[in-house]
Parts: sequence; C-alpha cells; structure tokens
Amino acid sequence: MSENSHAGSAGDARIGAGLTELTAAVRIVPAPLAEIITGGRRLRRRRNLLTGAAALTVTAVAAAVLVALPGLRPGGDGSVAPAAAPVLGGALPGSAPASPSASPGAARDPFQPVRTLVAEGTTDGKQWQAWAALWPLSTREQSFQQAQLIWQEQHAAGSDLSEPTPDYVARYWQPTTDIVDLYLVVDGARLPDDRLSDTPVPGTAEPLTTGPDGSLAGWLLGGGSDKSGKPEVLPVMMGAVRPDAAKVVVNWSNGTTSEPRLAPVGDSPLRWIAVAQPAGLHATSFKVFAADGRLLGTNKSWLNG
Amino acid sequence: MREPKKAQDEDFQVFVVAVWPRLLRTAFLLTGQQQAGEDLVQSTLERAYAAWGKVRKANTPEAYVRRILVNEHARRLRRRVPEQLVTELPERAAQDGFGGLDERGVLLKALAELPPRQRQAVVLRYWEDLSESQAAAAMDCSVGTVKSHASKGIAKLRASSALTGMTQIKETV
Repeated sequence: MSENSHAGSAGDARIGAGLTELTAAVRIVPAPLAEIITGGRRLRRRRNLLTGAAALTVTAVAAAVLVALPGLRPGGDGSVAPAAAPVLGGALPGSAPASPSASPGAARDPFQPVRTLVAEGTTDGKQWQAWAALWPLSTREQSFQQAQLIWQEQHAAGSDLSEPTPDYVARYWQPTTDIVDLYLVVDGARLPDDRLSDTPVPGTAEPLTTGPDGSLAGWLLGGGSDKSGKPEVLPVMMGAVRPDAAKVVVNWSNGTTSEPRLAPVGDSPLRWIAVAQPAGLHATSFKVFAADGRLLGTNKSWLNG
Repeated sequence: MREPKKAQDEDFQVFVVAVWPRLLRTAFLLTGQQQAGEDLVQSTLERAYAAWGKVRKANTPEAYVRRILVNEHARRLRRRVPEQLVTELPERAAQDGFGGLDERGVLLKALAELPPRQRQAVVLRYWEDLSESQAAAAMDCSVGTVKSHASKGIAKLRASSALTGMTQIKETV
C-alpha cells in the first residue's frame, strides 16, 4: 500500500476488499465515444453561452425581458408560471399544442425567444408541458446579451449553471445556428433542467439534426424521483426531426405506439416532438416517416445505447 | 499554436478508453446501479471533453476527471432530476438495482444508504485508495472533512448488522 493509500485497520481493508468485489460485477461495456464527444461538443457550446460575468447593460435587458415574460418570474409561492409566448405570438399554455409561434416573415429578435408548446399532458395527476424556446441567431456582439437572457431564465427556474462570460460566449459564437431551449413546466413551475440545442438558421445550411443517422436527435427531460425512489415526474422525451418528416412513430416496449405531433418552432426548419414515457415502459424505436410514407430513419440503435 | 481539433479528439479518445473501466466501477459504487453509473461516467467525460484543453494539461488528468465525476454525482443528487440523453434510456434499470439479496447486494445497499458525501469519501478512500488529501481534492473540501465523512461512513458500514456476518468487520477491528 502506498503512502497515499489509506492506513486503515483490517476491518477497513475488508471494506476495501468488499468494494473491490462489488466492482468486479460491473459490466465494462464499451465506452460510447461518439456519444461522449457529441455530448461534449454540445456542452462546450452551452458553456460558451452560459459561463461568465454579468454586465450592467445586460442586467437591464434581462430585467426588461423578465418583465415582458411573466411566465418566467418566480411566483410569490416560489413557483414559476408557465412560459407564455412573448412578442412573437407564441402558443400560450393550455392552447392547442404545436401551433407555430411566429408568423412567417416576422422580424427575428435575438433577445425575444419564440416559444412553442410542443406537447402537454397529465401524468399521475401532474400537468406537464414540454416547451421549446427558439432564440434567433444573434450577432457576435449580441451573443453575450442573449446568453445572459437564457441564463436568467434558467436561473429563475432554479438551475445552478454559472453565469456567462463575454469572452467565452464570443469565442464560440456560431454564425449559422439558432438556439432552442427545451424545458418542462410541471404544475405551473418550470423545472431547473433544460437542454440547449443548436438548430440551423433558416436558409443558411442544410438542416441536419445531430442524431447519428441524421434523422432524429432527442433528449430525456424530467424523470426525477423522490427520496423513496418514486418518480416525481415521468420523463418526457423531446426531439427534433428533419423538415421533410411528416410523422414520427414511437414504439414502446409493450408493443404499443405513440404518434407525437410535429411542432414547428418559430421559423426553424426543424420540427419538434415531445412524448411522455409511460410508466414501466421504454421506447424501442423512433421511426420517422415522410409524407408519402417513406421511412426516413429509425433510431432503434441509439435508443438501445 | 492550437493543436488541430482532430488530434485533440484522438488524444481524448485514447484517454477515455484508458480511464473508462475504472471510472465506471467508481461510478457504480457511487450510484449503486450499472446504468446510472454508465450515465454518470458518460456525463463526466462529456464535461471532460468540453474542458479537454484544461484537463489534458493537468498534472494528473485522471484526478481532474475524478473530481468532475464526484462533482457531477453531487450535482445529480442535489437536483434529483436526472437529465439523460435518449440514447441512454434506463431500460436495464429494473434488473440493475438492489434487487438481488446476495452479499454484494447487502454491501451495495449499505453503501447506498450512506449520505452522499460519506459514500463519496468511503469510495474514494477505500476503493480508489486515495490519500486523504487526494480525496479532499476530488471532493473539493478539506482534509478534515474527508476524515470526518470517511470515518462516519465506515462506522455506519461496520454497524450494519447485515454486513457483520459477511465481512466480520467488527471482529477484525
């Protein structure tokens, strides 16, 4: 035992041996290198947007936006109201999901996200809503302000992410991508966890999603549990599909299927879906179909890890 | 001059392959579940990738990543709202928990019942075999705090009646 090792008793050594025995049962699956690098790149971009120091001017803008977005202000009871669509006329909570939240040709304001209620439902008596907030492309000079606003929303929801820094944001600013913030609102309160996703600015590039087969990229949101292990909120899967997708079919482990609606979000070329994972089930595949019924892609492989 | 991105990726991949098994085992002890452990390590390595320029220049990149792992574990516990890629659907969770009542399961359960910081201290000191100062660095706390957490954690494991028959810990101390 090295000098760095713990100088324990025989009993302590037995505990160490017991732990070693436990780890012997761990299945050493291959490292998911592609997923790790993809996730790392996404995280790096997110950090670039969301790490750093505040600026007074930005604080003023953020405050103004929070005033304009009552849904983002913490309520007196500590809750956060559902995010209502601001200036661009997004879907209001409770309205029909998946309606476009911006009229074609509307001005793109990097400080005014376009919100869309992608899907909603009730699970175990809890009302959940899956939202997508599209933050239009900013200039490099505007990117820090935009990052601050995004962070303000996350912070208001209880996220512990650090504040952005100007240098970090500017260094990793991308000239051809909007940002879509995916989040859940449960019983009127936005959950702290969210997902930021890059999405191509309309007309700037071939709109590709980030899934390995190019057909669907998705994330699980929610799914937390209480101290007893009982789920507080069933996980909701949110994902993006390519523009020519007309239908998505989710196959569940018990043989049933779901067909989530495809929601346009602002003027993004992608379409977004959200579907709650039923208790005790898991998805075995997502299949994406074109309008003519042609199968555009299936994601069974990456669903199964 | 910055290293080409491709070279950095290759460098990172070599690192991942090298550290993956041990991180997976550590994460398993921290989470008590195979799938949760895999998720934790994947998240950890994603963060390591995002900060790879800094990680690779550290004196011991493994220690740096271990610290990320511990922080990520703590962060998940604080929020108790795991965020998972759909690629990591917990489809095997039901068979990975503490379902088996064998001796492994007993120890794993006793470990899982420790408060998180005590569990981290025990795992780092008695599985990772770190010194108190190394464990303190990984847990971002003082050596005294590590001592305290490890001591309390070990005492609880020793006191676990289910474990006494298995390891005869009481008799050998």
